[in-house]
Amino acid sequence: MSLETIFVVTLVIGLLVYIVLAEQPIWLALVISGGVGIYLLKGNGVLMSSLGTLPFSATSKYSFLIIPMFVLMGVVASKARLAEDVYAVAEKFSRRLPGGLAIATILACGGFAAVTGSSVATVATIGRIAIDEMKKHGYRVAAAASIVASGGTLGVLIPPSIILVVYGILTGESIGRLLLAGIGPGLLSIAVYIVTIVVLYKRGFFTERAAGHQGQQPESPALATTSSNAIAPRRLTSSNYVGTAYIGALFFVVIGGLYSGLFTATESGAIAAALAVVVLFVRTVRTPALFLGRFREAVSETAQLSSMIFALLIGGAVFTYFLVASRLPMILVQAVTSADVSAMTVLLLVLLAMLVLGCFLDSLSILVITIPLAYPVLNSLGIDGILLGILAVKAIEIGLVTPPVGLNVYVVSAAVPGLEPSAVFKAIWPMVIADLIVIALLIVFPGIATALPDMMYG
Amino acid sequence: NAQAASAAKVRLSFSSALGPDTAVNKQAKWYMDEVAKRSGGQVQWDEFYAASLLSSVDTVSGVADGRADVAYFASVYDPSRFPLMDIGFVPMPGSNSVGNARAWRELMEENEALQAEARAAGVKVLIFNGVASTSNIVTKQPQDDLAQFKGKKVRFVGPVTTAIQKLGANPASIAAEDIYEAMERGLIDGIGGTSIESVVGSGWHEVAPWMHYLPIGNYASSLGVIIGLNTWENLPADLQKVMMEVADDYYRQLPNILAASEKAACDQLLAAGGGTIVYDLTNPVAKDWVDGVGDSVFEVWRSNAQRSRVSAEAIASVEADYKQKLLAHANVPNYTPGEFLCSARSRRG
Amino acid sequence: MARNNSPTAWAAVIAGIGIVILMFLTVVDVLMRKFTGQGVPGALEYSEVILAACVFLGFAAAERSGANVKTNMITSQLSRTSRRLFVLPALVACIVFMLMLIYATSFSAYDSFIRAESRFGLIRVAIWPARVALTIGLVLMLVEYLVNIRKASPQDPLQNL
Ligand code: NA
Ligand code: NA
Repeated sequence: MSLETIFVVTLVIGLLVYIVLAEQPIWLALVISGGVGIYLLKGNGVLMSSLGTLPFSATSKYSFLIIPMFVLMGVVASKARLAEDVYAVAEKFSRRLPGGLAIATILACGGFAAVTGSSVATVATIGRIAIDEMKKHGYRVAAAASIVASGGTLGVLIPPSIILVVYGILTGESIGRLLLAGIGPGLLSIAVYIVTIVVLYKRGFFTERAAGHQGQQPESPALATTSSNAIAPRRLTSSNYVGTAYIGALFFVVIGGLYSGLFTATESGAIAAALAVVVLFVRTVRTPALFLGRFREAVSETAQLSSMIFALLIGGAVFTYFLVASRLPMILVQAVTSADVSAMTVLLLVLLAMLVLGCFLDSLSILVITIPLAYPVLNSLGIDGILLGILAVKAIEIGLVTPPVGLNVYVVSAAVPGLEPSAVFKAIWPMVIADLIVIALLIVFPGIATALPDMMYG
Repeated sequence: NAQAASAAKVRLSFSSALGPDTAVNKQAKWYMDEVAKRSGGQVQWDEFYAASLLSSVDTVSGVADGRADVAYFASVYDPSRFPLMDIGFVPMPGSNSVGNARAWRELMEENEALQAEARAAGVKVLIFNGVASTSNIVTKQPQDDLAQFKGKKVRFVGPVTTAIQKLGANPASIAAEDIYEAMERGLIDGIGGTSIESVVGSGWHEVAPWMHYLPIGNYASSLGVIIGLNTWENLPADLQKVMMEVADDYYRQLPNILAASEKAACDQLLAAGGGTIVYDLTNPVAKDWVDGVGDSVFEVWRSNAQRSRVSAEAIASVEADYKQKLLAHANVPNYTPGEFLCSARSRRG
Repeated sequence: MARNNSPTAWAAVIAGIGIVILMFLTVVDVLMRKFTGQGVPGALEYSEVILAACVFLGFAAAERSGANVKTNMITSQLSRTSRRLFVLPALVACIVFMLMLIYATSFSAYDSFIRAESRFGLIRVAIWPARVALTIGLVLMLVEYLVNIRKASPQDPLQNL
C-alpha cells in the first residue's frame, strides 16, 4: 500500500470517528468521510459522480423491498398487541419454574421475535409488560430490566430479521438462507438464557438489594410464586391464546413460505405484513377508528424506520466505494493470507472489533462499516458467509446491552420510571456471559446455524 | 524498447458486475493480460469483480466519469443511454456468437449513429464479447417437444420476451439474484435468455441442467469491454496502439476461446445429469414459431428507441447495418456453436 | 403537532401510502402467479421505482423524529461552549455535503428525465420520478436538519427508536 493511500485511509477513518462523535447522523458521517476519501484519491469529478449516482443505485433494488415489509409486519404486530398475549401465555407456562417470570420474559421475547425484525422494538414492546409484572412479584427492577434488554436481542436473530437482511444485501449471501440460519442460534440463545436465569435465581440475583449480599438466597414471599397467593396471577383470556396463535401463523407464513418455495423471501415479507394488517383489523374490527388510527401510526413509523435504514445503506455505499477504490480490502486479504494467521484468530479479532464498536454505534451502522472489510477477508480464509452473518449479529447485539451506549438498556430504562441505565448495565453481565457462551458454541458447532438452511437449500 | 521501459506506469481499474469466472470476464481477462504483456508491463490492472466497484446500472456512467477506467458492460445495463446499441438484444436467425462479436466490431467502426451514441455516453468500446447463444431455455427435465413450453413460467427479460410469449410460455420477471432459488423452489419452470456458459457460471445447472436451444438466432451480443473516453484520450499513443492490436488478436482468437469455454460448460451440464437439446428450423413447430415471431422483436426495439428520442434515420440505418453485418459474419470457419456439439454428447433418459 | 401540514409530513404520508401499495402489489402478484400462472406485468419493475421514491420521501420525517442514528457519547460530557466548538465543523461538513448531494442528484434526475431513463426488465418503466423524489427528500431533510440544529436540545437516547 502506498504511503499516500495509508494517509488517506487514516484521515478518512479519523474523520468518520469525529463526525460520529460530534453527534451527527451516522449515514452522513459515512457520506462525508467516504466522500473526502474519494476526492483525495480520485478528484472532484469522481466525487460528484459518486454522490449523484450511488444514493439511487445503492437503494433502488427490488430485493430491498423486504426491508419495509419486515418493518411493517413488526410494527403492525406490535400495534395489534400481540406481545401482551405471548407474554401472558409464556407466564402461564413458566411461572412454576425457578425464576419463572424471567423465563417467561425470555420466551415472550423469543415469541415476539418471530414477528418483528428489530431488537429495540422487542425490548420496547415486551419491556413495558414484563418489568411491571416482575416488579409486582418482588424482582429487583434492574435485574428484571437486564433480562428484557438481553431477550430483546432475539428479535434480530429469530427471523424475520432486518439486520440479517442488510447483511445479505452487503455481502450477496442468500437472504433466505440467512433467515433460516437464525432459527437454531435463536433457540440456542433462549436455552442458554433460561439456564442462566435458573442459576441466577438460585443465587438470589433477582432479589439481592446490594452488592454485598452476593450468594445469599432470599426466598421472599413474593418471589416464591408457587406457594404465594399474595398477588393474584394475571388472568389468561382466550384472546391471549388467539394472539399467540396469530404470532405462530405469521411466523409460519415467513418460514413456511421460504421452506416450501411458495414465494421468495421478499414476497414472504409482503404476505406476512399483509396478514399482520388483517390481524390488526380483526382485533379492532368493532372500532374502525381504532384500526385506522393504529394503522396510520404503523405506516408512518414504518416509513420513517425504512428511510433511516436506507439512509444508512446510502452512506454505506459511498463509504464502501471509497474503501474498494483504495484497494484496502484486497490489501488486507493479501496481508492476511500471506501472513499465515489462522482463520480463527482473524474471526475472533473481527468479532471483538464488532463487540467494541457496539459500545458506540447501533447494529446497522456497525454492519455497514465493518462488513465491506471483514467479509472479503474472512471469506478468503474459508469462513462460511452464513455462519459469519449469524456470529456478527450475535457479537453486534451484545453491544446493544453494554455500556456506554447500549440502546436496548436505554430503551428499557426509559420505560420504567426511576430506573437508571447504569443500574441495568451493572446487572447485565451474566447475560452478556451467556451470549459469549452462545458465540463459542456456534463457533465450535457451526451446524447449529447452517444445518437448517443446508437441509432446505442443499 | 528502451522508451517503453522508461515510460511511466499506467494503472487502470477494471470493473465488472459479474464474477471472475464468467465467460465474458475470462475474455476481458485475456485482453487485459495481453495488454499488460505487450506493453512490457507498462499497463497494470486493478481488477474488481462482482460489482464490488460499480454496480451494473452504474457501470456506464461510472466509466464515463472515471470511477472505473475500464469495465465489462452490456447495453442493457443502461438501455436509455444505448437505445441503438440495444439492437444487440434482438435475435437474428442464423447468427452465432463469434460472428456477432466480429459483426459488432465492424458496426461500431462504420455506423455513425452507433459511434455518436457511444461518444455521448462518454465511452469507447475496446472489444465486443463473444457470448454463446442466449436463445435458450433451461429446465429441470428435458422437454422433447417445443409445444411443452406452453403455459410454462420462464424467466425472461428484454425485447425477446415477445417471442417467448408467442411460444405460449409465461415470461416471469425474477430478479437475477433470486433466479436460483426461484428455479429450485418451483416458482419458475425455466430460465431463459442465458448462455450455456452463464448457466454454469451462475450454478443454475444444479437446478436446471437441460438447455433447449431455440432457432431464433443469437442475441445479447451488444456487450463488451469499454473504456472512458477521457481515460482513453489521456493514454499515450503507443499504448492506444497496443490496445487496438490486442483487440485485433482477440477477434482472431475468439473461436478458440469460445470453443474451449463452451466445451467446459457442456462438461458441467453433462456432469449435472443434463445436456442440450437443439430445436432447429427442420422442426415444424419451431419453424412455425419463428415465422410467427417475424418482425415483432425488432418492433419492440424500434419503439423503445423511439421513446428514447432517437431519430428515425438512425433507427433505420442501425437496423439495416445490423441485419447485413450479422448475416455476413454468420459463417465462421472452424467454429461450431457449443450447444450443437453438446447436443451430440447429451444422453436423454 | 403544529407542523403536521408541513411538506415533510406530506412527504412521509406519501411514503407510507407507497409502502402499503408495494405490499398489495406484491401480494396480488403472488396470488395471480399462483392462480393464473402469470404475475402482474411489470410488478418487479414498478416496485423498484416506487420503493426508491418512498424511502427517499421518508428521509425528512426520519430526520425530524430523530430516527436517524446519532450518538451523544462525547457531546453529553462537554460543557455548552466546548460542545458547540466541537460540533461546529462537523455540522458545517454535514450541510456542505447535503448541498453537494442535492446538487449532484438533481443533475442526475434532470439527465434521467431528458433521456427517458429506464431499467432493463420485462417492461420499461421510467425511473426519473424516483430520482426526483430523491432530490426532494434530500432538500426536505436538509430543512429538518437545520430546524433540529436550532432546537439544539440534548439528544434523548429514546429518540433513537
Ligand atoms: Na425477528
Ligand atoms: Na453498547
